[in-house]
Amino acid sequence: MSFVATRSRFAYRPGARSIHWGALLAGSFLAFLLISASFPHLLASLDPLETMPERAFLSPGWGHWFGTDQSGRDVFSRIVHGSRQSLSIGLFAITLSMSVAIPLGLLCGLIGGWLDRAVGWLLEILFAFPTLVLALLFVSIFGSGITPLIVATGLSISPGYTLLIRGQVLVVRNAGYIEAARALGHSPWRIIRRQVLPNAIRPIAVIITMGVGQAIVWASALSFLGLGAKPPASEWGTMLSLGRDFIANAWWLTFFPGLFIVLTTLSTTIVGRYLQYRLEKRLS
Amino acid sequence: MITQELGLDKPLIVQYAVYLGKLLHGDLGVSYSQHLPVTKVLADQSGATLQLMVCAILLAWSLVLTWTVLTAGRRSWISTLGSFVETMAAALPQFWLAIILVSVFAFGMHLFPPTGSNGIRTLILPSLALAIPLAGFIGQVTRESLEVVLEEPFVLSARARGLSDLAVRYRHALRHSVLPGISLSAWAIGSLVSGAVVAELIFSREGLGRQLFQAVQKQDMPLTVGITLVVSVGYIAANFLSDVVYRLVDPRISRGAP
Repeated sequence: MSFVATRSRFAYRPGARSIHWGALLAGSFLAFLLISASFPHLLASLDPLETMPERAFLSPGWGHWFGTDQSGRDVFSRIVHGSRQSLSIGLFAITLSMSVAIPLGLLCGLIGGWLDRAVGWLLEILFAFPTLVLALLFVSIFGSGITPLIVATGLSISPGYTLLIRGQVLVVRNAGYIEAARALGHSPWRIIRRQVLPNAIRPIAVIITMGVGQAIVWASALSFLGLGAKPPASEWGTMLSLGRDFIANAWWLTFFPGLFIVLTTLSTTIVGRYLQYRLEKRLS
Repeated sequence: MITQELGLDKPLIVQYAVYLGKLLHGDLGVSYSQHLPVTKVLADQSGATLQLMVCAILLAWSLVLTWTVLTAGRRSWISTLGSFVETMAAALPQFWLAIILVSVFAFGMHLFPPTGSNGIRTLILPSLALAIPLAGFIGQVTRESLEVVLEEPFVLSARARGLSDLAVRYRHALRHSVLPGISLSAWAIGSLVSGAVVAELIFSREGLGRQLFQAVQKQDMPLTVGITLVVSVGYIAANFLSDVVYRLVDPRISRGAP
């Protein structure tokens, strides 16, 4: 979960056919998540917080698709209702991290020189630093809870993204068409506005798509360690953490929330790669 | 009096200089929460974490060397399946994988003890939890370069000499395609440390990850700084080691570019 999964040079290039199916499935899963985050009542009719002790620890089956937990709450309904929190933590965290990474990356890539070297050096150090450790340090500064969780996740994943965006700007800056624009005598500002920015921004869209999944994983890791959303919230990491006490006899309490985390990351990765593939095809 | 004892009456810059001076003499201070010298905690706990990480890297590479090398560059459905499995593995969060492994292999099949940190049997599940996602990442990179290499003329000539498919893959193509994976493994040390925090907590193991988690929670600065230092040194050492392995795998590097 913890490697910047999204470096474009590591992306695989599957056949044109397979990626369409994969992207379609991944896209529909993401659509399902969006619906469940906006209108949870459409998908899950049972109350995620209503406890029914006589229905505790029911295994998955008709009536309760994903089983029930120690207080008889329906796991499926908790996951659906928790998706709003998990998704918005991921989205806010990636927004925060991009609002640090995009300006800094653009600045480094465009200005270059000593600024680039100084910031690049600092980023390399932060990047080498384990993300979870960085996030733990931020949590110890800001305290635990939802907002600190978002800040900690967003800040601790931003060094990698800054480096990625800086690299993207450098690639564009050294491209042939920039040289051509220079030879035509265009002003530097015009070149930046008309050539560099549009070409560097498109890959960033790919990075953001994949980044949402990563952010959700990191945020849920922190919740899992007991530093994020507090029970009875049904954020997925929190559900995993609560279910951990019962792994010996109720596997579904940890299996399904985790499965949703995995499917979300997988879907954002596949959709991101599909966008990247379309982009490369259009450019070539 | 305590202020004087801890040197807090001196200016910050002097305090920092004193700290650096002590650091040079191998004195990292005393842990607030455990009332033990930080160096002692580090010495006691580093071994278990090192064991876990080395074991995880070795396991990850053995997964890559079988799964990726055998499925790369085959008929399209095998390659697609192969890379899908790698993408899936790379998307698995270590903490979830750890829980699933415990519930299947420890509580379900009783093959391994669920917790503890003594002996090889307690090492297998935590290192698998770290190794499988890592293998996914190394596998994706290795597959990409292996598929390029398998199209090279020297592979064709090796096949023409009558070598079996396995011999072509393991004796000729592999050497040319593991380099990106090797540098990725050194680069992944940071993420393995994040994984070690989670794995050591879930499997109740000894080690630096668990200590770090507790130190951060108790705001135990000397211990946090000490562990961070060890992690950084480990990161540098791993990068150095990967350069050495690089040269062993590809002797052309030390001879200089042709």
